[in-house]
Amino acid sequence: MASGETGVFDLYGFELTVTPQDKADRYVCAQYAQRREAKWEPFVKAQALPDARRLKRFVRKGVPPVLRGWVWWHTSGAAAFRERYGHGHYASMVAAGEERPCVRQIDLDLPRTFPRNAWVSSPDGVAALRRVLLAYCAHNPGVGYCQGMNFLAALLLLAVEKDDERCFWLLVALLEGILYPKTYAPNLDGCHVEMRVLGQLLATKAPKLSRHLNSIGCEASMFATDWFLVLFATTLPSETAARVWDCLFLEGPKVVFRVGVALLEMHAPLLMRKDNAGEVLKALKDACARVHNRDALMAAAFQGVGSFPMARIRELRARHQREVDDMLAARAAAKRKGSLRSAISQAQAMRASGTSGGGAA
Amino acid sequence: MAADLSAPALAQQQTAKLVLLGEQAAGKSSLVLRYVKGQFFDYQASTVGAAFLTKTIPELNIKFEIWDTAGQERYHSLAPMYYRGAAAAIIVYDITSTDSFNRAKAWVRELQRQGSPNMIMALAGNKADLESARAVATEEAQAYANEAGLFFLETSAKTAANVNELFAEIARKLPKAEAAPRQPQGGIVLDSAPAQAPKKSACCA
Repeated sequence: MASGETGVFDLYGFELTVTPQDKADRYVCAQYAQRREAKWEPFVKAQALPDARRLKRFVRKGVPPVLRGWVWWHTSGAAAFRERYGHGHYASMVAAGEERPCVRQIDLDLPRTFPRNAWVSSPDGVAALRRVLLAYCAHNPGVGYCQGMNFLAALLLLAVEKDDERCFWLLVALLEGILYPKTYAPNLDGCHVEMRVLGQLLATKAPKLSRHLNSIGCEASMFATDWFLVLFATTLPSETAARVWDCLFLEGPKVVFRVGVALLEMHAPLLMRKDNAGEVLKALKDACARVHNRDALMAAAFQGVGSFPMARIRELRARHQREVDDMLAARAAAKRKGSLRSAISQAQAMRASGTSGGGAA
Repeated sequence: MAADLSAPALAQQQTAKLVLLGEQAAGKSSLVLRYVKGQFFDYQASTVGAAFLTKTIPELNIKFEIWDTAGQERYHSLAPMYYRGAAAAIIVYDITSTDSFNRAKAWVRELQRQGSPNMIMALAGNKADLESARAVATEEAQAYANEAGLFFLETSAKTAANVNELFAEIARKLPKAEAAPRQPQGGIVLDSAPAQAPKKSACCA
C-alpha cells in the first residue's frame, strides 16, 4: 500500500506514515489553523464564545486544538450535564464502576486501545481511560461498556488535555444528548438504524456509487460501523477526526452523515473499481486513514455534498428503526427456536447413547 | 524446478470466503495478522466492525477472503452479514478462558443453524503458548469438536504454532471449485477473470 516516511508524530502522539503529498497537506492545514487561532483571541480574552451564527462559522473552520477542551465543554452540552448531575457525580461513579460486571471487558480492552500511542498506553493514560469507562458503566448501566467507547474516550482524553472528568462528561453528552438513542445499546440498535440511513442518503447523493455498492452486495453496515460507534476516531487521522468532532459537538449527528457521504464521494473512483465488499472495506479503510487534508474534507462535507435536511433524516430514521426492530425481533425468535430444538436433539442423543449429563462439568 | 507446464490448467483460481468468530480478545485479529502478514503484537487494537484481508495459497490455488469480526457480544447483531455465504469459519477461543470456550460453542450452534449448509468449520484454541494459565483441557475441546463435527487445532498467534496448518487444512477441506456453482454472494466463487478460457481439448472430442 502507500509507503512513505515514518517517524512523524501528529499533535496527539500518533505515528504517521506520510508521503510528500500528505506532508504538504499537513503543512497547509497547520498554517491555516494558526491563522484561525488568532481570530479566537478576543473570545478567549472575554471568556465567552462567539454568538451562535459566528460560532458555527468559526467551528466549521476548526477549533484551535488548545481551545478544544473549553469550546467542546460548552458546545456539546457537557457543562449542562454536569450541572444536572452535580459536581461529585463523576468521582462517585468511578468508585461504583469497580463493582460493575463490565470491569472485566474494560480491563481486557485497556491495553488494546491505541496500543502504539505513547500516552494512551502509559500507566497514566491507562488509569485515566479506566476511570472514564468505569464511571460511564456505573452512570448508565443499561448501556454499560461497548467496544468502541475505549477509542472514543481515549481520543477525547488526548484532545482535552487528559482531563478525565471533562472527558467523562463529553462522553455523557455524546451518548445521551447528541447521538441517535441506543447507538451503543446491547444490540447496537441505533447504530444499525444510522447505517441504514447513511445507505439511503448515499443513494440520493451519489446514486452511481450507491448502485455499484448494492450490485456487489456491499451494505453501508459493512464499512460504517466504526463511523457511528467511534465517530471516526479509528478511521481518520486523529487531527482530522478531532476536526470532525468540532462540528459534531455543535451541530449534532448530521455531521457524521455529511462526513461519511463526503468520504465515500471523495473515494468514489477508487471504490467503483472494487468488485467485492471486502475490497471496498479495505480500500476505504486505507484511504480514510490517509485523509490528512482536513480542510478539504470539511469543505467536501459542508459544501460538496449539498443539503441534508434534518426532517429527511428523522423520517428515514423512523422508517429504519421499525425495520431494525423487526429484524432483531425475528433473529431473537429464531435463536429461541433454535436453542430449544438443539436442546431437544441433544437430550435425544444422550438418551439414545445412554449417557446422562456429561459435556461441560 | 519443473517447467511451468501446468499454468493454463491453474487459470481458474478458487476464491473462498472465510470468517473468524469468537469472544472478545480471544485472538481473532492476531491469528489473521500472523497468518497474512507474519506479524504479532502483544496488544492488538480491538476490532470495531470488521476487517478484511486476503491471502493466496499458491500450492492449492486458493485465495482466502478473510473477514475478521468484532468479538463483543453486542456486535453479534452484525455477524450474520459477515458469515452469510461464507465457505469456511474459524471459531476462536482462548485456552485460558472457559467463558470464551462456551462462547465458541454458541457460535458453532448459530452457524449450524444459520450458516451455509456446507460450511467448513474449524475450532481454534488460541493462546496455546499460555500453558500455565490453561483453563480448557485439550481433550475436552477435542471431544467437543468430534461431537460437533469440527476440525480442531490449538494455535498460538504469538509463536505461530499451528497457524499456517489451520488455514491450510481448511483449504484442503474445501470442496473443489468444479463442484461449486458460482454463487451471487460470497461462498466459493470462481475468479471472475480467468487468464485463459479453457479451450475444448482436441483429444477428447
